[in-house]
Amino acid sequence: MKKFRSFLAISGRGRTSRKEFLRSMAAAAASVPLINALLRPAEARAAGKLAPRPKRAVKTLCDLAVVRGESPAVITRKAVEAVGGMARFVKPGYTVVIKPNIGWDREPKYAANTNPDVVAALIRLCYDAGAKKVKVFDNTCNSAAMCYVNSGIAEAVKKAGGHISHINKEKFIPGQFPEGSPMKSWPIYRDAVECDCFINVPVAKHHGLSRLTLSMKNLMGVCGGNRGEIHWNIDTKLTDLTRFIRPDLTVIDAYRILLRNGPSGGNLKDVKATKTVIAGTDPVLADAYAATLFGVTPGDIGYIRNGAEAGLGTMNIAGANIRKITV
Amino acid sequence: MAQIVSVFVLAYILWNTRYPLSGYVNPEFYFLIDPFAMVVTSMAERVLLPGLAYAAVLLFITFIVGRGFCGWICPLGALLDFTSFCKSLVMKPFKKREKEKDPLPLRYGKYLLLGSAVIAALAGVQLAWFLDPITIFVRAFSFTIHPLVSGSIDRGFTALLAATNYPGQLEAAYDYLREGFLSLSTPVFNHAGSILAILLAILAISLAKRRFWCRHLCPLGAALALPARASLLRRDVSRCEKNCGVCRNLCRMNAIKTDNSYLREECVLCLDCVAFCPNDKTTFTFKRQRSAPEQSGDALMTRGSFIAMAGAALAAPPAAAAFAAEKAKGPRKPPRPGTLSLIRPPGALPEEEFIQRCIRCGNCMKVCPTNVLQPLPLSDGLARAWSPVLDTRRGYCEYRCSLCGRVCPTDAIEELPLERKQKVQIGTAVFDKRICIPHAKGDNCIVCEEHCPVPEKAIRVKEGTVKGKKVMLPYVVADLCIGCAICELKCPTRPDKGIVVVKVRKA
Repeated sequence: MKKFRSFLAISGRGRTSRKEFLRSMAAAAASVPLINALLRPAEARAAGKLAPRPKRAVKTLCDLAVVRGESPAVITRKAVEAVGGMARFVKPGYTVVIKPNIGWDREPKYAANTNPDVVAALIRLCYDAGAKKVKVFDNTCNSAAMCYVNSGIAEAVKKAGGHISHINKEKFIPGQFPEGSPMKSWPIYRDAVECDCFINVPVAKHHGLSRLTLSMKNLMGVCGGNRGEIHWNIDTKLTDLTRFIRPDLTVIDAYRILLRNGPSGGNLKDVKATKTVIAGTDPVLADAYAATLFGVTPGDIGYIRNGAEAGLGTMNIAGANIRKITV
Repeated sequence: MAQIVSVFVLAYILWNTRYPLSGYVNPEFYFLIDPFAMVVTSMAERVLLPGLAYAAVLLFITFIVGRGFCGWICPLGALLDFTSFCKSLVMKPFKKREKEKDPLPLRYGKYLLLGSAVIAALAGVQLAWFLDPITIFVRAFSFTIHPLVSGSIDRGFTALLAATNYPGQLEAAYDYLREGFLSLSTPVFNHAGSILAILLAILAISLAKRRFWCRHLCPLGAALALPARASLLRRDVSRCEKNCGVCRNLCRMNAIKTDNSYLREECVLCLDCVAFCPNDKTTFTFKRQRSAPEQSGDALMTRGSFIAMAGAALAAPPAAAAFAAEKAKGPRKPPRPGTLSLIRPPGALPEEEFIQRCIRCGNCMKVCPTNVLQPLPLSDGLARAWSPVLDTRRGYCEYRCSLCGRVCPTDAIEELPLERKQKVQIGTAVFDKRICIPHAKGDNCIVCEEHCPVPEKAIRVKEGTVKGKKVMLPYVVADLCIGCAICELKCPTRPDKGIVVVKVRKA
């Protein structure tokens, strides 16, 4: 950059010898692309932080769609359709991020990870709506290679034409959380923010600390750093995190739900087949409804209550326009 | 040439020694056919290892064709040849072709080492871990070469991606490489330096003399030389009248004598003397020859064997005694704060047996998906050096993985079916209530409970009050805890952990 500037200065004065001029030209020619390549991340680093995703208002046909049925793929499609169809969220040429739960080295039947059929169905819907690229990833708890394979999600994503990739640690960038947020500048995966549409696809299951892990908790999968610390004061942190990511669409896989010994489970006796998929734009409402599947009052879940109080969404199920469909 | 292929085959096998271990050849294969490692380990441990059968096959093949293994398959031999080749390239301009001084009795060094190892094995001390060439190569490859190569490619890619702001094509290429060729996270091994140093030392001495190690030191070579002495495939130079000496200078083992006869047990069948014979007079044949120029060699051999045996008899007892003393040293200091003893991989034999059975090939550490298995340092005593132990600050034992047992050539780690491995208690987690957040501060945390992989949860919570705050207090159900240490790794306190895994001796 410096060389480039000196070159401008020199030529501006117009009093350079030809040799000098050529030399500075060559230096400038050589350095511009290099400087461009090298400076950009440095600038990004200097600018410091990853900005939150902007809020996008999408009008939907109902606040929440709850669809029951035998086939996970069919009820997923039906749920998205009931909300208003994928075309409302995904415009042609969009880069879409679908964030399932791939956190654990368990097979789909244990309900520790998102159902692969649900993920695949969403990917196909995105491409049908004209998406350019659909990315799928998760920062796993167990070994990534094992989680991706044994959850069945890697294969399902590839079959559906999506791009599944393992976490690249270099892409965690400190997030620009509001002043006073306990998240401070928690590192966030840049792909999760640099996308045109973010679809959050958690599996509904039991969790020791927060009682249930639903869509807001699923967003921990885009966080880097010493993630265990998020457990300290988890309710506020999850609210701030959800506000940072602002998922455009939340699809909760409750085809199988894990009732006890979550979030990893491992015992079929703890799994219940509720054969339900919930879709909506309000993460708090989606989580609140999912909680009722466990017989839990939404207000008893800390982060749902906290999210509602912070104005992230509503946990008032009775007052919401919920479409219930059975396929 | 063939050897380069063999090195690449082994490198390929080793490179893929990782989850999900889908290769056609189990990486333990090279050790199973290794008679030295198998016999010595079996003798020291008084067990019949399944590898003995494979090793016997190799010995039989050696009896038929000679020490072809050394010339065609042994990766260390190939590496030594490559070193000498590089040296000759460098030395060429200097035109300094030194005659190799190679007094025959020095060749008995390897028998001495073999004899010592066998006698030590009879005394119950297994030395194959230190002397076996396959082990030396594999260990150095797995601990240093693979992490270095894989890691630098990975680092290069991430740096390039960051510098170019993640262009789609490049990122796709990187993801593709990571899934197959690279490791998702490059394994790092403690104490890799001392392991590499041994390989480098062997390479260095081979600069002085081609295949110095193979000629003078290799106990596996000695073990193969014994049946090779009577091998059926022999070098036939009966048609050669000139004795021009070209083959003599070529021979990397310096096995061809001035009268054009050769030391049959030293020949590694590289076939340079056939390929480069100016008159095409050298062949190898199974035919019996009338001439018996080997007589002198045999005479030397008997004397040599005698020297070797005597030397071994003298050398081995002190060595064995030293190791026994090492073994008897008693309790050792804990390797990291909070632990009381070493945590061995699931399925490992009882400690004393384990350190005798383990040949430190490094397969288990290479295959471990979380990089938790780490070699102990030399400073932990020779008896335990480089044996695998869980470094629970680096990784944890993955609940649904039992690969370490599958790749162990000497069954120091038993090959357990997954259901059984998931019940094996390698240690027990205990809370340090001075550090654990809920216990010490009264704030909620229970990351340990979240990660506990036991379906019934070996870490459970109860309501409690600490410092006037209602809090969920975690506790360990010792009967269920398998000591996988994921709780210790994921515990968010830094630097000391609120929960650590310790070895609890069974009464």
